[in-house]
Amino acid sequence: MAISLQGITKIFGQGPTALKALDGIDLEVPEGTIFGIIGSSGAGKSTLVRCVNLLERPTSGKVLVGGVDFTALSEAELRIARKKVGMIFQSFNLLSRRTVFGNVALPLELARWPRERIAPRVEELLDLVGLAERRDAYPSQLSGGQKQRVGIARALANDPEVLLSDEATSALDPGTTQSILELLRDINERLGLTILLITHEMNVIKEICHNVAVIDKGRIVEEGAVLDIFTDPREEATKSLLSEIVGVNLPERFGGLDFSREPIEEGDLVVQLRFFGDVAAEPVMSDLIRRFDVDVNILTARIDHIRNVPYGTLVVGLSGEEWQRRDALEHLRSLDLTVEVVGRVGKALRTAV
Amino acid sequence: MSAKLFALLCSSLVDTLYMVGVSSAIAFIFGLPLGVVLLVTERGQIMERPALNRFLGSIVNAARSTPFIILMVLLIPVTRMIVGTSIGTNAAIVPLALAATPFVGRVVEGALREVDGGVVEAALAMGASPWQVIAKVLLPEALPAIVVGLTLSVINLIGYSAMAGAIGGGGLGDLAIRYGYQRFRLDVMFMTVAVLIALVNLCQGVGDFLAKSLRRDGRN
Ligand SMILES: Nc1ncnc2c1ncn2[C@@H]1O[C@H](COP(=O)(O)OP(=O)(O)OP(=O)(O)O)[C@@H](O)[C@H]1O
Ligand SMILES: [Mg+2]
Repeated sequence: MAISLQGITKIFGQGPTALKALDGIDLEVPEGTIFGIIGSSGAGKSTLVRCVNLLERPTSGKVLVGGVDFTALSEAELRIARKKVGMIFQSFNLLSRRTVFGNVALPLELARWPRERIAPRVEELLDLVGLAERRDAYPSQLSGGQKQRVGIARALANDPEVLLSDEATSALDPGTTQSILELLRDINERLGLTILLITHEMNVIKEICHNVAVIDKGRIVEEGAVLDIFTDPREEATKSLLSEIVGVNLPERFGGLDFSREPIEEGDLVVQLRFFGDVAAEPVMSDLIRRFDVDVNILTARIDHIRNVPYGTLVVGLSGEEWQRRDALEHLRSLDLTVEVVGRVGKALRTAV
Repeated sequence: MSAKLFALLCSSLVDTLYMVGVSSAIAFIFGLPLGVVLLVTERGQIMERPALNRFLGSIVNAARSTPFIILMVLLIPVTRMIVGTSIGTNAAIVPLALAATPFVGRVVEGALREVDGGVVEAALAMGASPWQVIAKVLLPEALPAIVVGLTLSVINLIGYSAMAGAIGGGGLGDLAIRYGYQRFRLDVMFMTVAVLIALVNLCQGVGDFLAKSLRRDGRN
Protein backbone atom coordinates (compact mmCIF):
# COMPACT_ATOMS: atom_id res chain seq x y z
CA MET A 1 0.00 0.00 0.00
CA ALA A 2 1.18 3.48 -0.75
CA ILE A 3 1.35 6.11 1.95
CA SER A 4 0.38 9.68 1.25
CA LEU A 5 0.87 12.46 3.75
CA GLN A 6 -0.87 15.68 2.85
CA GLY A 7 -0.13 18.92 4.63
CA ILE A 8 0.70 17.29 7.96
CA THR A 9 1.25 19.77 10.75
CA LYS A 10 1.78 18.84 14.36
CA ILE A 11 1.86 21.37 17.14
CA PHE A 12 2.66 20.24 20.68
CA GLY A 13 1.22 22.29 23.49
CA GLN A 14 -0.44 25.64 23.09
CA GLY A 15 0.11 29.29 23.74
CA PRO A 16 3.60 30.69 24.04
CA THR A 17 5.18 27.27 24.71
CA ALA A 18 3.62 25.66 21.64
CA LEU A 19 6.09 23.76 19.50
CA LYS A 20 5.60 23.12 15.80
CA ALA A 21 7.16 19.68 15.43
CA LEU A 22 5.87 19.16 11.88
CA ASP A 23 5.23 21.99 9.51
CA GLY A 24 3.26 21.17 6.38
CA ILE A 25 4.66 17.79 5.41
CA ASP A 26 3.70 16.45 2.00
CA LEU A 27 5.06 13.04 1.20
CA GLU A 28 4.26 10.25 -1.22
CA VAL A 29 5.63 6.81 -0.43
CA PRO A 30 5.07 4.59 -3.46
CA GLU A 31 3.82 1.08 -2.90
CA GLY A 32 6.53 -1.55 -2.43
CA THR A 33 9.39 0.86 -1.89
CA ILE A 34 11.74 1.29 1.02
CA PHE A 35 11.45 4.95 1.80
CA GLY A 36 13.86 6.57 4.23
CA ILE A 37 13.37 9.72 6.19
CA ILE A 38 16.52 11.16 7.63
CA GLY A 39 17.11 14.12 9.85
CA SER A 40 19.09 15.21 12.83
CA SER A 41 17.86 14.85 16.40
CA GLY A 42 14.68 16.77 17.10
CA ALA A 43 13.91 17.27 13.41
CA GLY A 44 10.54 15.62 13.85
CA LYS A 45 11.21 12.13 12.49
CA SER A 46 9.54 10.16 15.26
CA THR A 47 6.60 12.52 15.30
CA LEU A 48 6.21 12.08 11.55
CA VAL A 49 6.29 8.29 11.55
CA ARG A 50 3.90 8.20 14.53
CA CYS A 51 1.51 10.38 12.57
CA VAL A 52 1.21 7.67 9.93
CA ASN A 53 -0.58 5.21 12.23
CA LEU A 54 -2.00 8.06 14.29
CA LEU A 55 -0.16 7.16 17.48
CA GLU A 56 0.21 10.90 17.25
CA ARG A 57 -2.77 12.69 15.78
CA PRO A 58 -1.65 15.48 13.44
CA THR A 59 -2.95 18.96 14.27
CA SER A 60 -3.94 19.26 10.63
CA GLY A 61 -3.47 17.37 7.40
CA LYS A 62 -4.44 14.02 6.00
CA VAL A 63 -2.86 10.58 6.25
CA LEU A 64 -3.79 8.19 3.48
CA VAL A 65 -2.62 4.60 3.68
CA GLY A 66 -3.61 2.47 0.72
CA GLY A 67 -6.02 5.23 -0.25
CA VAL A 68 -7.84 5.13 3.11
CA ASP A 69 -7.92 8.41 5.01
CA PHE A 70 -6.82 7.33 8.49
CA THR A 71 -7.62 10.72 9.97
CA ALA A 72 -11.29 10.25 9.04
CA LEU A 73 -11.70 6.83 10.69
CA SER A 74 -13.48 6.20 13.98
CA GLU A 75 -11.48 4.72 16.86
CA ALA A 76 -12.81 1.24 16.13
CA GLU A 77 -12.14 1.51 12.40
CA LEU A 78 -8.67 2.83 13.10
CA ARG A 79 -7.87 -0.20 15.27
CA ILE A 80 -8.73 -2.48 12.39
CA ALA A 81 -6.78 -0.35 9.92
CA ARG A 82 -3.72 -0.37 12.16
CA LYS A 83 -3.43 -4.14 11.83
CA LYS A 84 -2.29 -3.55 8.25
CA VAL A 85 0.48 -1.23 9.41
CA GLY A 86 3.25 -2.96 11.34
CA MET A 87 5.69 -0.98 13.42
CA ILE A 88 9.14 -1.61 14.88
CA PHE A 89 10.96 0.50 17.43
CA GLN A 90 14.42 1.54 18.51
CA SER A 91 13.88 0.10 21.99
CA PHE A 92 12.10 -3.02 20.63
CA ASN A 93 9.19 -2.63 23.08
CA LEU A 94 8.79 -6.33 23.76
CA LEU A 95 6.75 -7.61 26.69
CA SER A 96 9.24 -8.72 29.30
CA ARG A 97 7.00 -11.42 30.74
CA ARG A 98 6.19 -13.09 27.46
CA THR A 99 8.53 -15.44 25.65
CA VAL A 100 9.61 -14.87 22.08
CA PHE A 101 6.67 -17.03 21.06
CA GLY A 102 4.28 -15.11 23.31
CA ASN A 103 5.44 -11.76 22.00
CA VAL A 104 4.90 -12.74 18.39
CA ALA A 105 1.53 -14.26 19.32
CA LEU A 106 0.33 -11.02 20.94
CA PRO A 107 -0.92 -9.23 17.82
CA LEU A 108 -2.74 -12.41 16.79
CA GLU A 109 -4.38 -12.67 20.23
CA LEU A 110 -5.38 -9.03 19.95
CA ALA A 111 -6.93 -9.81 16.58
CA ARG A 112 -8.76 -12.71 18.27
CA TRP A 113 -7.24 -15.50 16.25
CA PRO A 114 -8.21 -18.96 17.50
CA ARG A 115 -5.44 -20.56 19.55
CA GLU A 116 -4.85 -23.46 17.17
CA ARG A 117 -4.15 -21.11 14.29
CA ILE A 118 -1.81 -18.89 16.29
CA ALA A 119 0.90 -21.50 16.92
CA PRO A 120 1.62 -22.40 13.28
CA ARG A 121 1.58 -18.75 12.27
CA VAL A 122 4.05 -17.82 14.99
CA GLU A 123 6.35 -20.70 14.00
CA GLU A 124 6.26 -19.50 10.43
CA LEU A 125 7.15 -15.95 11.46
CA LEU A 126 9.98 -17.12 13.70
CA ASP A 127 11.37 -19.11 10.80
CA LEU A 128 11.20 -16.02 8.62
CA VAL A 129 13.30 -13.98 11.04
CA GLY A 130 15.59 -16.89 11.92
CA LEU A 131 14.66 -17.26 15.58
CA ALA A 132 12.84 -20.58 15.60
CA GLU A 133 15.15 -22.13 18.18
CA ARG A 134 14.79 -19.26 20.65
CA ARG A 135 11.01 -19.47 20.81
CA ASP A 136 10.90 -20.12 24.56
CA ALA A 137 13.46 -17.50 25.55
CA TYR A 138 12.45 -14.31 27.33
CA PRO A 139 13.49 -10.92 25.89
CA SER A 140 16.01 -10.40 28.70
CA GLN A 141 17.83 -13.49 27.43
CA LEU A 142 18.21 -12.16 23.89
CA SER A 143 20.76 -9.92 22.18
CA GLY A 144 19.67 -6.58 20.72
CA GLY A 145 19.61 -7.97 17.21
CA GLN A 146 17.52 -10.96 18.30
CA LYS A 147 15.09 -8.66 20.10
CA GLN A 148 14.65 -6.63 16.95
CA ARG A 149 14.01 -9.83 15.01
CA VAL A 150 11.23 -10.62 17.46
CA GLY A 151 9.96 -7.08 16.95
CA ILE A 152 9.94 -7.61 13.20
CA ALA A 153 8.21 -10.99 13.44
CA ARG A 154 5.60 -9.41 15.71
CA ALA A 155 5.10 -6.50 13.31
CA LEU A 156 4.56 -8.92 10.44
CA ALA A 157 2.11 -11.20 12.27
CA ASN A 158 -1.06 -9.62 10.92
CA ASP A 159 0.24 -9.64 7.35
CA PRO A 160 0.63 -5.90 7.14
CA GLU A 161 1.20 -4.14 3.87
CA VAL A 162 3.14 -1.30 5.40
CA LEU A 163 5.98 -1.44 7.91
CA LEU A 164 6.98 1.62 9.91
CA SER A 165 10.39 1.65 11.47
CA ASP A 166 11.42 4.22 14.05
CA GLU A 167 15.21 4.03 14.34
CA ALA A 168 15.02 0.24 14.40
CA THR A 169 18.78 -0.19 14.18
CA SER A 170 19.94 2.77 16.23
CA ALA A 171 20.51 0.69 19.36
CA LEU A 172 22.49 -1.97 17.50
CA ASP A 173 26.15 -2.37 16.64
CA PRO A 174 27.19 -2.02 12.97
CA GLY A 175 27.30 -5.74 12.25
CA THR A 176 23.89 -6.38 13.76
CA THR A 177 22.51 -3.30 12.01
CA GLN A 178 23.67 -4.79 8.74
CA SER A 179 21.89 -8.09 9.36
CA ILE A 180 18.66 -6.38 10.42
CA LEU A 181 18.77 -4.17 7.33
CA GLU A 182 19.26 -7.24 5.18
CA LEU A 183 16.24 -8.83 6.82
CA LEU A 184 14.17 -5.72 6.08
CA ARG A 185 15.31 -5.69 2.47
CA ASP A 186 14.48 -9.37 2.20
CA ILE A 187 11.00 -8.74 3.61
CA ASN A 188 10.49 -5.87 1.22
CA GLU A 189 11.41 -8.04 -1.74
CA ARG A 190 9.66 -11.23 -0.69
CA LEU A 191 6.47 -9.82 0.74
CA GLY A 192 6.27 -6.65 -1.33
CA LEU A 193 5.91 -4.64 1.84
CA THR A 194 6.12 -0.86 1.71
CA ILE A 195 8.66 0.20 4.34
CA LEU A 196 8.85 3.70 5.75
CA LEU A 197 11.90 3.97 7.91
CA ILE A 198 13.32 6.86 9.79
CA THR A 199 16.89 7.17 10.90
CA HIS A 200 19.56 9.68 11.64
CA GLU A 201 22.19 7.52 9.97
CA MET A 202 22.95 7.98 6.28
CA ASN A 203 24.44 4.49 6.30
CA VAL A 204 21.02 3.00 6.85
CA ILE A 205 19.55 5.00 3.98
CA LYS A 206 22.45 4.07 1.75
CA GLU A 207 22.12 0.41 2.55
CA ILE A 208 18.49 -0.30 1.77
CA CYS A 209 16.41 2.71 0.77
CA HIS A 210 15.17 3.43 -2.70
CA ASN A 211 14.01 6.93 -1.91
CA VAL A 212 14.91 9.34 0.79
CA ALA A 213 13.46 12.51 2.22
CA VAL A 214 15.46 14.84 4.39
CA ILE A 215 13.58 16.43 7.26
CA ASP A 216 14.82 19.50 9.04
CA LYS A 217 12.94 21.51 11.66
CA GLY A 218 9.68 19.80 10.80
CA ARG A 219 9.89 20.35 7.07
CA ILE A 220 10.91 18.10 4.20
CA VAL A 221 13.80 20.02 2.67
CA GLU A 222 14.92 17.58 0.03
CA GLU A 223 13.54 14.42 -1.45
CA GLY A 224 14.39 12.01 -4.23
CA ALA A 225 16.06 8.79 -5.27
CA VAL A 226 18.85 7.88 -2.86
CA LEU A 227 21.53 7.96 -5.55
CA ASP A 228 20.53 11.45 -6.65
CA ILE A 229 20.45 12.86 -3.16
CA PHE A 230 23.75 11.29 -2.23
CA THR A 231 25.59 12.44 -5.26
CA ASP A 232 24.05 15.84 -5.63
CA PRO A 233 22.82 17.13 -2.28
CA ARG A 234 21.39 20.62 -2.52
CA GLU A 235 20.50 21.53 1.03
CA GLU A 236 22.82 22.26 3.91
CA ALA A 237 20.92 19.82 6.14
CA THR A 238 21.52 17.04 3.61
CA LYS A 239 25.15 17.90 3.18
CA SER A 240 25.82 17.84 6.87
CA LEU A 241 24.11 14.47 7.24
CA LEU A 242 26.03 13.17 4.27
CA SER A 243 29.37 14.38 5.50
CA GLU A 244 29.22 11.69 8.15
CA ILE A 245 29.62 8.96 5.56
CA VAL A 246 31.06 10.68 2.56
CA GLY A 247 33.59 12.15 4.91
CA VAL A 248 34.37 15.35 3.07
CA ASN A 249 34.59 17.61 6.05
CA LEU A 250 37.69 19.41 4.93
CA PRO A 251 39.95 20.30 7.75
CA GLU A 252 40.70 23.97 7.82
CA ARG A 253 44.36 23.12 7.52
CA PHE A 254 45.84 20.09 5.85
CA GLY A 255 48.23 18.80 8.44
CA GLY A 256 50.26 21.93 8.91
CA LEU A 257 49.95 23.13 5.32
CA ASP A 258 49.14 26.69 4.79
CA PHE A 259 45.73 26.22 3.29
CA SER A 260 43.68 29.14 2.16
CA ARG A 261 40.24 29.58 0.72
CA GLU A 262 41.54 32.69 -1.03
CA PRO A 263 43.65 32.41 -4.17
CA ILE A 264 47.34 32.37 -3.42
CA GLU A 265 49.73 33.30 -6.14
CA GLU A 266 51.72 30.24 -7.18
CA GLY A 267 49.69 28.04 -4.81
CA ASP A 268 48.49 24.57 -5.65
CA LEU A 269 44.86 24.16 -6.49
CA VAL A 270 42.83 22.04 -4.06
CA VAL A 271 39.88 20.46 -5.80
CA GLN A 272 37.13 18.28 -4.45
CA LEU A 273 35.75 15.70 -6.86
CA ARG A 274 32.59 13.77 -6.25
CA PHE A 275 31.96 10.91 -8.57
CA PHE A 276 29.43 8.17 -8.87
CA GLY A 277 28.58 5.31 -11.12
CA ASP A 278 30.96 4.14 -13.82
CA VAL A 279 33.25 7.14 -13.73
CA ALA A 280 34.72 5.70 -10.61
CA ALA A 281 36.23 2.87 -12.55
CA GLU A 282 37.91 5.08 -15.06
CA PRO A 283 41.48 6.03 -14.37
CA VAL A 284 40.75 9.72 -14.11
CA MET A 285 43.83 10.59 -12.17
CA SER A 286 46.42 8.92 -14.31
CA ASP A 287 44.74 10.36 -17.36
CA LEU A 288 45.05 13.81 -15.84
CA ILE A 289 48.73 13.42 -15.16
CA ARG A 290 49.46 12.06 -18.60
CA ARG A 291 47.50 14.57 -20.60
CA PHE A 292 48.15 17.78 -18.71
CA ASP A 293 51.47 17.11 -17.12
CA VAL A 294 50.27 18.21 -13.70
CA ASP A 295 51.16 16.63 -10.38
CA VAL A 296 48.23 15.18 -8.51
CA ASN A 297 48.34 14.78 -4.76
CA ILE A 298 45.47 12.92 -3.19
CA LEU A 299 44.70 14.66 0.07
CA THR A 300 41.69 12.68 1.23
CA ALA A 301 39.58 10.09 -0.46
CA ARG A 302 36.55 8.11 0.41
CA ILE A 303 34.90 5.54 -1.77
CA ASP A 304 31.77 3.59 -1.00
CA HIS A 305 28.79 1.93 -2.59
CA ILE A 306 25.12 2.75 -2.58
CA ARG A 307 23.28 -0.43 -3.40
CA ASN A 308 26.15 -1.63 -5.62
CA VAL A 309 26.79 1.68 -7.32
CA PRO A 310 30.21 3.07 -6.45
CA TYR A 311 30.51 6.68 -5.40
CA GLY A 312 33.12 8.64 -3.66
CA THR A 313 34.79 11.85 -2.83
CA LEU A 314 38.33 12.79 -3.55
CA VAL A 315 40.20 15.87 -2.54
CA VAL A 316 43.28 16.44 -4.65
CA GLY A 317 45.93 19.07 -4.94
CA LEU A 318 46.94 19.97 -8.49
CA SER A 319 50.32 21.49 -9.05
CA GLY A 320 51.99 22.62 -12.20
CA GLU A 321 52.03 25.70 -14.36
CA GLU A 322 49.02 27.94 -14.09
CA TRP A 323 47.76 27.05 -17.58
CA GLN A 324 48.27 23.33 -17.00
CA ARG A 325 46.16 23.45 -13.88
CA ARG A 326 43.52 25.47 -15.68
CA ASP A 327 43.33 22.94 -18.52
CA ALA A 328 43.24 20.06 -16.06
CA LEU A 329 40.39 21.68 -14.20
CA GLU A 330 38.58 22.31 -17.45
CA HIS A 331 38.98 18.67 -18.34
CA LEU A 332 37.67 17.50 -14.96
CA ARG A 333 34.64 19.70 -15.38
CA SER A 334 33.91 18.08 -18.72
CA LEU A 335 33.70 14.66 -17.08
CA ASP A 336 30.70 13.27 -15.30
CA LEU A 337 31.94 14.55 -11.96
CA THR A 338 31.00 17.18 -9.47
CA VAL A 339 34.00 19.49 -9.25
CA GLU A 340 34.48 22.10 -6.61
CA VAL A 341 37.55 24.23 -6.06
CA VAL A 342 37.93 24.37 -2.30
CA GLY A 343 41.04 26.48 -2.00
CA ARG A 344 44.75 26.70 -2.50
CA VAL A 345 47.83 25.83 -0.60
CA GLY A 346 51.23 27.32 -0.72
CA LYS A 347 54.22 25.57 -2.19
CA ALA A 348 54.79 23.49 0.90
CA LEU A 349 52.19 21.08 -0.38
CA ARG A 350 54.51 19.02 -2.43
CA THR A 351 56.89 18.27 0.38
CA ALA A 352 54.24 17.77 3.00
CA VAL A 353 52.21 15.12 1.32
CA MET B 1 2.93 -21.32 78.96
CA SER B 2 -0.30 -22.96 79.96
CA ALA B 3 -2.39 -24.96 77.57
CA LYS B 4 -5.23 -22.50 78.04
CA LEU B 5 -3.09 -19.61 77.01
CA PHE B 6 -1.80 -21.51 74.02
CA ALA B 7 -5.34 -22.22 72.91
CA LEU B 8 -6.15 -18.54 73.35
CA LEU B 9 -3.16 -17.55 71.26
CA CYS B 10 -4.16 -20.00 68.55
CA SER B 11 -7.74 -18.80 68.35
CA SER B 12 -6.54 -15.16 68.31
CA LEU B 13 -4.18 -15.99 65.47
CA VAL B 14 -7.03 -17.59 63.57
CA ASP B 15 -9.11 -14.46 64.16
CA THR B 16 -6.31 -12.26 62.88
CA LEU B 17 -5.80 -14.44 59.82
CA TYR B 18 -9.52 -14.31 59.17
CA MET B 19 -9.73 -10.53 59.49
CA VAL B 20 -6.63 -9.91 57.43
CA GLY B 21 -7.56 -12.55 54.87
CA VAL B 22 -11.09 -11.32 54.25
CA SER B 23 -10.22 -7.62 54.33
CA SER B 24 -7.25 -8.21 52.00
CA ALA B 25 -9.47 -10.08 49.57
CA ILE B 26 -12.03 -7.28 49.60
CA ALA B 27 -9.34 -4.62 49.26
CA PHE B 28 -7.78 -6.46 46.29
CA ILE B 29 -11.11 -6.92 44.58
CA PHE B 30 -11.93 -3.22 44.78
CA GLY B 31 -8.41 -1.80 44.86
CA LEU B 32 -7.21 -3.47 41.69
CA PRO B 33 -9.83 -1.92 39.41
CA LEU B 34 -9.49 1.33 41.33
CA GLY B 35 -5.77 1.39 40.60
CA VAL B 36 -6.37 0.62 36.94
CA VAL B 37 -8.94 3.41 36.68
CA LEU B 38 -6.67 5.84 38.52
CA LEU B 39 -3.99 5.25 35.94
CA VAL B 40 -5.81 4.90 32.63
CA THR B 41 -8.09 7.90 33.15
CA GLU B 42 -5.17 10.19 33.73
CA ARG B 43 -4.46 12.84 31.08
CA GLY B 44 -2.45 11.38 28.22
CA GLN B 45 -3.34 7.81 29.16
CA ILE B 46 -5.32 5.30 27.12
CA MET B 47 -8.76 6.22 28.50
CA GLU B 48 -8.21 9.75 29.66
CA ARG B 49 -11.05 11.23 31.77
CA PRO B 50 -9.36 14.03 33.69
CA ALA B 51 -12.46 14.99 35.71
CA LEU B 52 -13.14 11.45 36.86
CA ASN B 53 -9.47 11.02 37.63
CA ARG B 54 -9.35 14.10 39.82
CA PHE B 55 -12.53 13.09 41.61
CA LEU B 56 -11.31 9.57 42.39
CA GLY B 57 -7.90 10.86 43.30
CA SER B 58 -9.24 13.26 45.89
CA ILE B 59 -11.44 10.60 47.49
CA VAL B 60 -8.52 8.21 47.67
CA ASN B 61 -6.32 10.89 49.19
CA ALA B 62 -8.94 11.79 51.76
CA ALA B 63 -9.37 8.16 52.80
CA ARG B 64 -5.64 7.65 52.96
CA SER B 65 -4.94 10.69 55.05
CA THR B 66 -7.49 9.78 57.72
CA PRO B 67 -5.74 7.90 60.55
CA PHE B 68 -7.00 4.34 60.72
CA ILE B 69 -8.16 4.58 64.30
CA ILE B 70 -10.32 7.60 63.44
CA LEU B 71 -11.63 5.95 60.31
CA MET B 72 -12.67 3.00 62.40
CA VAL B 73 -14.64 5.16 64.80
CA LEU B 74 -16.17 7.19 62.01
CA LEU B 75 -17.28 4.00 60.30
CA ILE B 76 -19.07 2.50 63.30
CA PRO B 77 -22.56 3.36 61.98
CA VAL B 78 -21.71 1.92 58.58
CA THR B 79 -20.30 -1.20 60.19
CA ARG B 80 -23.44 -1.64 62.26
CA MET B 81 -25.51 -1.33 59.13
CA ILE B 82 -23.50 -3.96 57.23
CA VAL B 83 -22.55 -6.45 59.94
CA GLY B 84 -25.21 -5.73 62.54
CA THR B 85 -22.68 -5.04 65.30
CA SER B 86 -19.64 -2.86 65.80
CA ILE B 87 -17.73 -5.40 67.88
CA GLY B 88 -15.87 -8.55 66.87
CA THR B 89 -13.83 -9.76 63.94
CA ASN B 90 -16.56 -9.35 61.34
CA ALA B 91 -17.09 -5.77 62.42
CA ALA B 92 -13.36 -5.08 62.16
CA ILE B 93 -13.30 -6.25 58.56
CA VAL B 94 -15.36 -3.27 57.35
CA PRO B 95 -12.92 -0.50 58.36
CA LEU B 96 -9.94 -2.69 57.53
CA ALA B 97 -11.14 -3.32 53.97
CA LEU B 98 -12.13 0.30 53.56
CA ALA B 99 -8.79 1.58 54.71
CA ALA B 100 -6.85 -0.87 52.57
CA THR B 101 -8.77 -0.37 49.33
CA PRO B 102 -7.41 3.11 48.49
CA PHE B 103 -3.96 1.94 49.54
CA VAL B 104 -4.14 -1.01 47.16
CA GLY B 105 -5.47 1.36 44.50
CA ARG B 106 -2.42 3.60 44.78
CA VAL B 107 -0.09 0.60 44.91
CA VAL B 108 -1.60 -0.85 41.73
CA GLU B 109 -1.58 2.54 40.03
CA GLY B 110 2.10 2.90 40.85
CA ALA B 111 2.90 -0.58 39.56
CA LEU B 112 1.08 0.07 36.28
CA ARG B 113 2.84 3.40 35.88
CA GLU B 114 6.16 1.59 35.85
CA VAL B 115 5.19 -0.31 32.70
CA ASP B 116 7.24 1.01 29.81
CA GLY B 117 5.15 3.38 27.71
CA GLY B 118 6.78 1.99 24.58
CA VAL B 119 5.20 -1.40 25.16
CA VAL B 120 1.76 0.16 25.44
CA GLU B 121 2.46 2.11 22.29
CA ALA B 122 3.48 -1.05 20.47
CA ALA B 123 0.19 -2.69 21.45
CA LEU B 124 -1.79 0.35 20.30
CA ALA B 125 0.09 0.26 17.00
CA MET B 126 -1.05 -3.37 16.62
CA GLY B 127 -4.63 -2.22 16.92
CA ALA B 128 -5.23 -3.09 20.58
CA SER B 129 -8.27 -1.56 22.26
CA PRO B 130 -7.80 0.19 25.60
CA TRP B 131 -9.29 -2.84 27.39
CA GLN B 132 -6.90 -5.15 25.58
CA VAL B 133 -4.00 -2.93 26.56
CA ILE B 134 -5.06 -3.26 30.19
CA ALA B 135 -5.61 -7.01 30.09
CA LYS B 136 -2.78 -8.07 27.80
CA VAL B 137 -0.08 -5.54 28.50
CA LEU B 138 -0.46 -3.37 31.60
CA LEU B 139 -1.60 -5.94 34.15
CA PRO B 140 0.65 -8.82 33.05
CA GLU B 141 3.71 -6.60 32.75
CA ALA B 142 3.04 -4.98 36.13
CA LEU B 143 2.24 -8.25 37.90
CA PRO B 144 5.52 -8.63 39.82
CA ALA B 145 5.29 -5.03 41.04
CA ILE B 146 1.63 -5.53 41.92
CA VAL B 147 2.55 -8.58 43.99
CA VAL B 148 5.16 -6.53 45.83
CA GLY B 149 2.55 -3.86 46.53
CA LEU B 150 -0.09 -6.34 47.63
CA THR B 151 2.39 -7.88 50.04
CA LEU B 152 2.89 -4.45 51.51
CA SER B 153 -0.88 -4.02 51.79
CA VAL B 154 -1.31 -7.34 53.62
CA ILE B 155 1.45 -6.43 56.05
CA ASN B 156 -0.19 -3.07 56.67
CA LEU B 157 -3.45 -4.88 57.31
CA ILE B 158 -1.81 -7.12 59.89
CA GLY B 159 -0.75 -3.97 61.71
CA TYR B 160 -4.15 -2.34 61.35
CA SER B 161 -5.91 -5.50 62.51
CA ALA B 162 -3.93 -5.39 65.74
CA MET B 163 -5.10 -1.82 66.15
CA ALA B 164 -8.68 -2.87 65.46
CA GLY B 165 -8.26 -5.25 68.39
CA ALA B 166 -7.90 -2.24 70.63
CA ILE B 167 -11.54 -1.38 70.19
CA GLY B 168 -12.84 -4.86 70.44
CA GLY B 169 -12.02 -6.23 67.04
CA GLY B 170 -10.68 -9.56 68.26
CA GLY B 171 -7.50 -11.23 67.09
CA LEU B 172 -3.92 -10.90 68.33
CA GLY B 173 -4.18 -7.19 69.04
CA ASP B 174 -7.19 -7.78 71.22
CA LEU B 175 -5.36 -10.53 73.09
CA ALA B 176 -2.33 -8.34 73.69
CA ILE B 177 -4.47 -5.54 75.04
CA ARG B 178 -6.77 -7.59 77.20
CA TYR B 179 -4.20 -9.93 78.73
CA GLY B 180 -0.91 -8.21 78.22
CA TYR B 181 -1.92 -4.66 78.97
CA GLN B 182 -4.97 -4.79 81.19
CA ARG B 183 -3.89 -7.83 83.23
CA PHE B 184 -0.16 -7.06 83.17
CA ARG B 185 0.65 -10.39 81.52
CA LEU B 186 3.88 -9.36 79.83
CA ASP B 187 4.53 -12.92 78.67
CA VAL B 188 1.29 -12.85 76.68
CA MET B 189 2.23 -9.49 75.29
CA PHE B 190 5.59 -10.78 74.09
CA MET B 191 4.08 -13.94 72.66
CA THR B 192 1.60 -12.00 70.54
CA VAL B 193 4.28 -9.64 69.36
CA ALA B 194 6.46 -12.62 68.42
CA VAL B 195 3.60 -14.20 66.49
CA LEU B 196 2.93 -10.91 64.68
CA ILE B 197 6.59 -10.59 63.75
CA ALA B 198 6.62 -14.14 62.44
CA LEU B 199 3.45 -13.48 60.46
CA VAL B 200 4.82 -10.33 58.84
CA ASN B 201 8.06 -12.06 57.95
CA LEU B 202 6.20 -14.98 56.46
CA CYS B 203 4.09 -12.64 54.30
CA GLN B 204 7.13 -10.70 53.16
CA GLY B 205 8.96 -13.91 52.31
CA VAL B 206 6.09 -15.36 50.33
CA GLY B 207 5.53 -12.04 48.54
CA ASP B 208 9.17 -11.62 47.64
CA PHE B 209 9.39 -15.17 46.39
CA LEU B 210 6.27 -14.79 44.27
CA ALA B 211 7.38 -11.47 42.80
CA LYS B 212 10.80 -12.87 42.03
CA SER B 213 9.47 -15.95 40.32
CA LEU B 214 7.16 -13.79 38.22
CA ARG B 215 9.90 -11.49 36.95
CA ARG B 216 11.37 -12.25 33.57
CA ASP B 217 13.31 -9.08 33.04
CA GLY B 218 16.69 -10.49 33.94
CA ARG B 219 16.55 -9.28 37.54
CA ASN B 220 15.99 -12.75 38.94
N1 LIG C 1 4.75 14.53 23.18
C1 LIG C 1 5.46 15.63 22.94
N2 LIG C 1 5.18 16.77 23.59
C2 LIG C 1 5.88 17.91 23.35
N3 LIG C 1 6.88 18.00 22.46
C3 LIG C 1 7.21 16.90 21.78
C4 LIG C 1 6.53 15.66 21.97
N4 LIG C 1 7.07 14.73 21.16
C5 LIG C 1 8.05 15.36 20.48
N5 LIG C 1 8.14 16.66 20.84
C6 LIG C 1 9.07 17.66 20.28
O1 LIG C 1 8.94 17.66 18.88
C7 LIG C 1 10.21 17.80 18.25
C8 LIG C 1 10.43 16.65 17.32
O2 LIG C 1 10.57 15.47 18.09
P1 LIG C 1 10.82 14.05 17.47
O3 LIG C 1 10.81 13.06 18.57
O4 LIG C 1 9.87 13.82 16.36
O5 LIG C 1 12.29 14.22 16.90
P2 LIG C 1 13.20 13.13 16.18
O6 LIG C 1 13.55 13.67 14.85
O7 LIG C 1 12.58 11.79 16.25
O8 LIG C 1 14.49 13.19 17.10
P3 LIG C 1 15.45 12.00 17.60
O9 LIG C 1 16.39 11.69 16.49
O10 LIG C 1 16.15 12.62 18.77
O11 LIG C 1 14.58 10.85 17.99
C9 LIG C 1 11.22 17.89 19.37
O12 LIG C 1 11.53 19.24 19.57
C10 LIG C 1 10.51 17.32 20.56
O13 LIG C 1 10.96 17.91 21.74
MG1 LIG D 1 13.01 9.97 17.31
